Amino acid sequence: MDWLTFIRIGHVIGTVLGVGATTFAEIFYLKFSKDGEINPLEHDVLKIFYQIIRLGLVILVFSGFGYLILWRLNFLGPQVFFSDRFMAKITVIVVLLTAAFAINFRLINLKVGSAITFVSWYMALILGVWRKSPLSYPVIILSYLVLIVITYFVLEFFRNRISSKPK
Amino acid sequence: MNARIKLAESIIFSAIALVIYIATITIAADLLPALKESLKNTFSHHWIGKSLTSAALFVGLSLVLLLIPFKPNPQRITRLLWILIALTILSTLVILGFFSLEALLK
Amino acid sequence: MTLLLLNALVWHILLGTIALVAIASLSLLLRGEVLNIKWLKIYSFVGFLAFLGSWISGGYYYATYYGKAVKPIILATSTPWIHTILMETKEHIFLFLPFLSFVALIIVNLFPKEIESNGKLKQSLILLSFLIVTLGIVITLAGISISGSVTKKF
Repeated sequence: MDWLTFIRIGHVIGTVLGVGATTFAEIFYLKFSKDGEINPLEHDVLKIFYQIIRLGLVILVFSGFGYLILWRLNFLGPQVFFSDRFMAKITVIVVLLTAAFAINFRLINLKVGSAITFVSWYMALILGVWRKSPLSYPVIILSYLVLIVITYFVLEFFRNRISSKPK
Repeated sequence: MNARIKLAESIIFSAIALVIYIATITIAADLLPALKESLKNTFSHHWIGKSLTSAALFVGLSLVLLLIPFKPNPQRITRLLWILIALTILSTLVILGFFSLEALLK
Repeated sequence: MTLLLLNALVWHILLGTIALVAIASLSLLLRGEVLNIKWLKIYSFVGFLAFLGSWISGGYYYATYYGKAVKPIILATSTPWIHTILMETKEHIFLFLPFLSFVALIIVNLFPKEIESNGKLKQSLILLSFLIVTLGIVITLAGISISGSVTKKF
């Protein structure tokens, strides 16, 4: 197995863990919030998802640097490193890391943080897979911001719907 | 306990001196070609010279402060950490600003 | 590029990443009320050692290869500021990191109980870790830009 394949596998695993755990963390949070409180067992379950998200992020970061090292050694240059798609992906990852920190230190509202991290993971996935994306950096980032706002209201809709249902 | 406090204070104070030194030597070496040349001649590369003199300053000053008789103060540790954080940010901005200005003026 | 230089570059990046992950983990661990002292010590130790390794390997690559083989390429591009601003800043700011992480290591190892009980000390340690991580991320982004502007020399 060559290094590129090894790194690719790692990157996919990191993305799968991160996207998957983020998705299920949201779903289970909504489910557990039905009765208006998160009991200790439910809290432990959510904690496991958050740990998997962190693991996914660490694997993603290391495998991502693996890609960068290979690109550098193969002199892929500005066409790849400064492409709109790649710069947008780096922006999204930096926002994801910042939001993760901010949530952990209670510096931002949990609902806002949730929307940001949820969209960031999916955006990183899409940008990673959609190699021939014709979109410019400003368009990608604008779409990203719009998606965060939409996701916030969608999640808020589901939270309200669940909390207003008879228990 | 006093020995631990004294050790911590010495090290944090040396780190403060270090961040000031790095910003100073960075700018000075760029503005004074003779300084940069002398670092290169002594250490084979100016950056190696900056690295090694920084490490020497940090270790040397820490040892000197450990030997100097001063009264350890646990409250001072937090204050010194804040000063270290503030001066590191300032030194970073100074270094970035200097190179940006230099590039702009060239 | 020789095999030694290749390894120097790769280990510089890898060890730098390990150091950042360790210090970031340290800051996250510090936010709890009851602290896991064992892991605080491990993360602070790993962070410091990794920065030290990254410093040495990166320094070797920079001093022996970058100046003569990479810098001229970047200066000849339409973005010479990637060297004159980003690289110049990066190579000097990096020097802070091993010493800042050493301070974090000392505090964690000398005052484990005090970090738990003294809110102000804990807060300043968290901020120090934040600072190290932030500087590290800035340096990393600069490094990516520098690597990205290197094309084959014709």
